[in-house]
Amino acid sequence: MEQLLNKFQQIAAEPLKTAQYWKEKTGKKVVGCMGLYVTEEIFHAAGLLPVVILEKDSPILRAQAHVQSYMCGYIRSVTDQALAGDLDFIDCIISHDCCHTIRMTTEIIKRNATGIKDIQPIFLPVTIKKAESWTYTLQELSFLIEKAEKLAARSITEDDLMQSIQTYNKHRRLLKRLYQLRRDKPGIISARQVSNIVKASMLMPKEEHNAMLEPLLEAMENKTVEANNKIPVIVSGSLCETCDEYVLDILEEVGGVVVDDDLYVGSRYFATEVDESLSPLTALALAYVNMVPPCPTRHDPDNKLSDYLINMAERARAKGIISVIVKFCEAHYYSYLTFRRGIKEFNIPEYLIETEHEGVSPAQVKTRLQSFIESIRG
Amino acid sequence: MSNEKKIVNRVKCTANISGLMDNFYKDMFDDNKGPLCWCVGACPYEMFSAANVRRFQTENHAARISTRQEQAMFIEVAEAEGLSENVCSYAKINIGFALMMARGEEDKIPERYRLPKPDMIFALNTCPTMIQWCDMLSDIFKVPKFVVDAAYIYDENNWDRNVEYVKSQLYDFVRFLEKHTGQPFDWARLNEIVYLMKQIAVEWRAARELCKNVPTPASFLDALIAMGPKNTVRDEASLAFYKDFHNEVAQRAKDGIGVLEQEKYRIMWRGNFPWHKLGTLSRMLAKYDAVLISGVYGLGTYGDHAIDNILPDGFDLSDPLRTIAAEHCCRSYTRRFDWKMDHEFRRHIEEFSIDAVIIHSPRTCRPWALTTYDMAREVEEKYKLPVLVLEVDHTDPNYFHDAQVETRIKALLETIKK
Amino acid sequence: MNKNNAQDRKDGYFAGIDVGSTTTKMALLDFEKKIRVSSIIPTGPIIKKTVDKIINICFEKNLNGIDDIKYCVATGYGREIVDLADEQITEITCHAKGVNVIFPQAKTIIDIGGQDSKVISVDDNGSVLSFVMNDKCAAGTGRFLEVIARSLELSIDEMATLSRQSKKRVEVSSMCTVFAESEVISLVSQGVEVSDIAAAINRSIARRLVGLVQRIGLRLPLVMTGGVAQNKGVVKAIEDALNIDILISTEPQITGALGAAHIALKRFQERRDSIE
Repeated sequence: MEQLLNKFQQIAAEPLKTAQYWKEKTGKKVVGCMGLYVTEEIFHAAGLLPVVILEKDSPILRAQAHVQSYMCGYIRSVTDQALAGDLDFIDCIISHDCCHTIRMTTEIIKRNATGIKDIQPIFLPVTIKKAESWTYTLQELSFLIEKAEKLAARSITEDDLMQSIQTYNKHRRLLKRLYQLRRDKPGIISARQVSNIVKASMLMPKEEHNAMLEPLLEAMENKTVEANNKIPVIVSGSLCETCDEYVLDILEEVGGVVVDDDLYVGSRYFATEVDESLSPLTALALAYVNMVPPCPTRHDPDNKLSDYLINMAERARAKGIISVIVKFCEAHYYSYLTFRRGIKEFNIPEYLIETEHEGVSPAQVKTRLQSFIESIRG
Repeated sequence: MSNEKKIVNRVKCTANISGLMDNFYKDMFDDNKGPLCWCVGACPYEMFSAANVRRFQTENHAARISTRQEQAMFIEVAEAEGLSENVCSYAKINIGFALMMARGEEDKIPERYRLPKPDMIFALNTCPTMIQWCDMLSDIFKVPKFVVDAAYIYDENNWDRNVEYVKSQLYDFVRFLEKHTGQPFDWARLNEIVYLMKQIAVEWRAARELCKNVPTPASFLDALIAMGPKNTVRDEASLAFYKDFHNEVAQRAKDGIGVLEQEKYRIMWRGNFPWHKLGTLSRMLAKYDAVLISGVYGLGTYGDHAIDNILPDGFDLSDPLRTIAAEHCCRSYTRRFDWKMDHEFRRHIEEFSIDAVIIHSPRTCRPWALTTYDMAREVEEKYKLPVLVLEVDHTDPNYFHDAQVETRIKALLETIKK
Repeated sequence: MNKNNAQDRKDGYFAGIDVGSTTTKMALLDFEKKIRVSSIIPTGPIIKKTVDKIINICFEKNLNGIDDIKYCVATGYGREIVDLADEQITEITCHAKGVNVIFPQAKTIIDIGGQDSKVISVDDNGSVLSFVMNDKCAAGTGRFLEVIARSLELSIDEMATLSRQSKKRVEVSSMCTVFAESEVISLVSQGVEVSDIAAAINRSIARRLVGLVQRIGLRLPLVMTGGVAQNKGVVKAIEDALNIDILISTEPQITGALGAAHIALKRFQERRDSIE
């Protein structure tokens, strides 16, 4: 188990190197997915290697001349990576227009990062439950299929798509089993380790990742956890950024244990399965408009974050909810407030941590999280 | 540095704006004029008139509060509720206002800003904030809402399908309006108002083009003050006002009357405007004989695109919903950044004898702020003009410090070689 | 040290040490929950030395040796660096406990410390229900006051006294300490009375705190702790802004350390009970 976890950790530690390694090893073209809802299955079906473009944990230098300091760390970091030439090995970046910040950044990168091979914006409906959203999504996904076919210089058949959907669904189910195990045996795996696993999945072929997950899950099934008096909590937030892992570390260090999450590098990445009984394109479009986790950047008023997290907390027997907001994420600010207003009647303790690319003093985060845990413990 | 106060010769008829807007807001209390909708963002107001629904724009209301520098109280209420200080300051003002109303604290709100509670909320997401803001209001007042999703046109080849996408939602909105008013939608009235908008756009555009004259007969600040009726009222009285405005500006141009006694520096403004510092900025610039000539903000509003043939369809009175949809698809936020940079911004720099450019990068508006650094670079490199990126805010008072801003503006003017 | 022996003898002390960013506080309780000694000293650059120093000061005051400390709780930013401590507990929990000892009826606590300010909502037992803290910057903290006082060439006490002579209302709008400082300097250069500026600064801090109070929800009575609670100007500004009266103990700075000492006593008893 330790060995596998270390391997995941190594893969997650250097996202770009990992992607480059797979590019060399498989000889496949790499598609970089930026923003929230790029349909990876389509590129996978064309024999391409989709990887998620992640925030990089290094100081932002070049991007300062193009992007204000009062923009979220994700786009500042991605712009910086693009300007530094770090993303030049990617054959095509697909940038989903999930907020105006990403929208404008895509154009800034296009304009200034001369080494970028290809950067293609896409738009998916924001109001996901309307009739016209559905047709629009289908059109946009068809466009993505064309794009993938051009990149791969081959056509994608329905069978190709279905096989990819199956591979991805299998992957989603394995990760869900991992989460089930964590709920059943709190502390069996640390929040950072889970984060490493999901992050690795964003960077490597799903088949390979599945092959690593299966023995890990088996080892976890057979492992027992000693009884402890840690306070079970769930963590929500960090929409397109990696949740600053030190927050998770501190949380578990001061007596909390993460039993479930609603994080981007976490359950949001694999929560929505694609229906294998439908025609593949329809199923993919449906998966988008019927996404399971409520998304602060989408408009789906019946899918409330407060209900979603209350259910998650109940299912995991969590005693508190931590929200992690990336500073300057406008959509998330509103969504957090609506969530906060929505859970008032449930009497479950919640706390907000706001993170920044440049980092927030760990001492302050610690005081807050420790106080939160102390207050639950009473 | 002289400290004498310079005279700013404003376009006289803008003095009527305050009365026009006061009346507009007074109408919100008139129950005979249909249910009340609070509109978030740039909305198809003509549709409301055709449905006999009262409506006002929440941003306009927030800006109105800010011009008298009375916004801080509302911002504090919103932030105390838990809304981040980094959220759009218009939204903070309006949500704070809404919270106070919902809590029955109306007596704390200065009378001139008071409004009835909404019967419905509408938003069109020219920026993502609109939708969340709309949800927030609907949650606070427990009233129905309607949201129109304006697609992002990243490729001009997608134009048609995007306009149709918006138009089909506008049809649904007609049904929504009919349901909530219990009355049939007045299509003839809609046509009338769309036609009215075309006439307003013509007057407005003509007046603004006259600012190419040296000295300029009107300033950007005159235009900002004059923008209210066009952006939110849109009725016959508005057209009358813009005719007056155009006539007065034309007369001034003919007589060679400028805004300043001595017009030394012609500055172009880009971005939305710090409403709470309208007077301060006007005086600050006048002190150095500088005048804001024009700005892209407020120009890219309804109608301009059509008469400028940017809108491929132009004004199509046989299909007013498509015209409205196309108009909203034309907004700078909904189309590509290089397009946005290309057109009006460059044209103004080239045609209005500009000496320097001020680009506003608002701290709480990411859509306006992003790309400003690149724009500044282009202006410097391509047009060899000095640029100031002013990082303040459209209404949040915490980011504007007179002394700091003045230093920056003075430094900008010092780099102009004359 | 021989702390873990459960003894029947009712002697020994329970220590609370609160290592804040500006001052370090220590309180020693006996079994009767009486404060035997307490002390406040400035926090030096080397926290270990500061902690040694305050322990020495306390034990010079006619107590037996340090070995008589039965249980020690450390709190504050330097809580990890107190070797003597059996346990580290955050200042939020300790202030809540400390206030509960002095004002058992308290429902809301404002603590303005050197580098952060917090508002805590507590139940009848002094347990924390919820809390909010200021952003990571110095706005609305003791440090903010220090910086401004320095730019006015006043001591904090002088600034507090002066602020009460203010006759004209001026505004300092910047939340950022550095910008507020430059705003203050430009007000001075415009010839605005220092007393008016000082009052504006107090209102600026009050605004910040009122925002935090409203986020938690105001429940009365409200108690203020921390060094700034001694600053009558700031207290008055917060009282005015909230339109309430604020309770303040005679030594508001010691509250955190006192709470820590009470928790130490409680922990010791729990431990002894569990052994028995």
